[in-house]
Amino acid sequence: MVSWWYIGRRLAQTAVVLVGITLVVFWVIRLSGDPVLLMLPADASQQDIQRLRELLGFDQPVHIQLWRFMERVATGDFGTSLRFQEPALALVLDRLPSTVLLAFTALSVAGVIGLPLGVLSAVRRNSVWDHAAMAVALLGQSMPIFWTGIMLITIFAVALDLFPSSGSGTIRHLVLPTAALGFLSTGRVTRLVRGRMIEVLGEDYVRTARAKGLTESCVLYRHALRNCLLPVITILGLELGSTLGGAAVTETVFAWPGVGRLIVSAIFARDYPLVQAAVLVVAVMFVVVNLVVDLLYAVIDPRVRFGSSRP
Amino acid sequence: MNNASLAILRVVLLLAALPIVSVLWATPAGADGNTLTVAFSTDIVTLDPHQNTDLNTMQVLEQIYEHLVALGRDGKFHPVLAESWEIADERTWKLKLRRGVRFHNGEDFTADAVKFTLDRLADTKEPMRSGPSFRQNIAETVILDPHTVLIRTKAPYPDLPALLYLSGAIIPPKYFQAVGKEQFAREPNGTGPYRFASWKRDVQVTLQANERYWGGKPDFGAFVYRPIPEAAARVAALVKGEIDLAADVPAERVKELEFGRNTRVVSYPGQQIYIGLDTLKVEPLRDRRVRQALNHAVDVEAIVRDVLGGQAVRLNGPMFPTMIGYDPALKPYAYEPERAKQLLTQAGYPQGFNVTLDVPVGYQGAMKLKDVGETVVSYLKKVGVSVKLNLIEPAAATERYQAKQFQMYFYGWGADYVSGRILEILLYSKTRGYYYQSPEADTMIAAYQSAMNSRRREELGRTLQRFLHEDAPFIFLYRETTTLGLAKRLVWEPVVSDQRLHASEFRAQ
Repeated sequence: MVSWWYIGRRLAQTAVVLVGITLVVFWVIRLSGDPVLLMLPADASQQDIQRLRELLGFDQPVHIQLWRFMERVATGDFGTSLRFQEPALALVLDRLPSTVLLAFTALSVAGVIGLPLGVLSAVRRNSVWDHAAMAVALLGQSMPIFWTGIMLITIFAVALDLFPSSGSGTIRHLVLPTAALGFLSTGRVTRLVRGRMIEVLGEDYVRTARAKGLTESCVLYRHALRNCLLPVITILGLELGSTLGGAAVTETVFAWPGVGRLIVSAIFARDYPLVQAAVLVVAVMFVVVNLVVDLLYAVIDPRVRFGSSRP
Repeated sequence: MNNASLAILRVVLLLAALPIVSVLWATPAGADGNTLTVAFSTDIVTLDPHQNTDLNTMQVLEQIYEHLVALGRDGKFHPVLAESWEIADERTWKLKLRRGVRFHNGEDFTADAVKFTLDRLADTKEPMRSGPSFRQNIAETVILDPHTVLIRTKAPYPDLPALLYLSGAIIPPKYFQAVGKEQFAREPNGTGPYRFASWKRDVQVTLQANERYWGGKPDFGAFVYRPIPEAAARVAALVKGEIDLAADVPAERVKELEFGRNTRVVSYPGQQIYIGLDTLKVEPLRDRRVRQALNHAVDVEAIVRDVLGGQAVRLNGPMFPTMIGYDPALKPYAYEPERAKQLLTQAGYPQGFNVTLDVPVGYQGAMKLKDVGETVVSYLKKVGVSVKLNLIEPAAATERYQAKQFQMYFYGWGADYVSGRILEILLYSKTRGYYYQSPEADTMIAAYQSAMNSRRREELGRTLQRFLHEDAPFIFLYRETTTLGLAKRLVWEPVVSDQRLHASEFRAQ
């Protein structure tokens, strides 16, 4: 089973990853230009510009800025958003529930639809079901999410008048963004499950199980499906990561008040502290999800052992 | 696979569809006829009017706060919180204040509020973001009696009313001192027709009608501001009736809304776009004839028609039509490539020359800059000027602009209330003078900027406009047409060149 030593080591790795991300983000965003000019009106004088630069510490060399930043982050202070003039971390955490909600519903849809669809296509290979499922999966994977989003709005919000076109607040607002974001993941999950299932169904132990006279559903669910879940969980974990971070487009198209949209607008406004805080929060989520996925392996597949020296 | 397991799979698939079906039955959040809902591309930034430099944020602040004066439909400034004003001497303005006005919390509006506001804006110790022009121009504010104030300027400053409208939102001193600046920025309190109710970030700002508004209770009981970043989604929300007003309708959607069943469009002049020329360091561009040649070489009419879908108006110089002394009769440079070649030959460049043009992609929401840039390049190629197009990120562009690293660059200036500001900032050598310095222009701009007599100022404006047209520090391109999509039920016409909306002017049919 999972050893504490393993978890400890993974957490230590996580810390290293987060420090690395902080450094990279800090450096990269500073390559992009001076935020002070964007914060002042056109009539600002050189003194105004200089004064604000000093006030915000941008007149200091980058390594000093970095040191100060790390010092403050260590105490949980991510600085003040330049644009909103409010604590950056609070602005991010304020948006986090919306993003998590969207990511989880989209992923649930992907799991709930993709899994049975994949199994069905595998079992009924080359049937109408199979072809339809693969066509849907292909569409889901190849349509850019921006376009999917606009199409969903045009069809289901404007033409059919079933859902609000954008915004948030009710469960009805959640449907179209979920569909847009979930469509992509559904395609991936379906294809993956189908592929794995076809592979597993040809394995010896499935033949043995059948030979033993087990019912078909027992063979499918107890033996075959369980064995094809491992990569599916990996993919779902990665998908959750990418939906958390990659929800930016969906959030922007549907005016969903999430972290992705916040990051995009913060980057355009050169709002360094806000970008740093938001990227770090997303990174933490990503790393945690990956850790959980790894730990889940052991639960699903008893053969997986972590951290022990036994073979 | 047996039938039982297939059946199970089908049930699972059906179950997956259930949540979607169940939400269909939920009651729709119907549009409220008594609420005016507007949608802009970004969320508001702050609710402290003196810390704001963002136009979209202004659309909310403008309903809560008022100024001493406001821009009227005739293009002149009209009394709001000031009842009247007179110029006591070149540097002193005397303002009579409106009586019986209260802030939303009940605090009386008096001369104290005016002084407190202007002192805060002119303060150099804790500089306000919207305060630069106040710091540069206002010497002091003196209270004569509770309803009369004197504003003294450092130099003759005829644009004072414009500045007061631009960013002089009047704030309540007692409330501000009681709650402090942080809470003041969260819970604004003005004299305007709407009072603040709530701000759910990235979702909406809600304002309620001020029942006791001195100008009469507004028609709509509530005002809702929604940030919808994607233009297509904004248009969809308008077509569907979820919102009453959609800002920045893209050119390709204008026709659809113009002839829509429930929609119409309203256009007004937006920002002016030109190509700045480095007339100091780039040798050929130092010659006025070369700059004129470039203006003759570009067919701006064709660009407006073919690239911008007609959503722009050709410029005849650097000035806005709202500026004092603007001369509409002045003809823009005609498209005459032969003339351009002659001028280039006269200036000693019969074979043309090489130059770089920087295009900040996505800059200030300007329309299709990249396409316009490419078209300009091909026009200049025809007269022998070989232009290297350099796409650049807007913030990086701002930095390079300040560092004087551009040869030719796109620049935009939003519609302005303050007459001479654009000229003073861009072309007056003592302020920026990054790319253009001319002793003649300096003299003319200084005279224009300090002329307190409006007829005199008008004459100076005309002379200045003709001079700058001739001297051509820019390739004068066009003024964008900003298009708002409106629900047909709204009765409202825009104030020309005022990009700020006033919700209290809207009526429902």
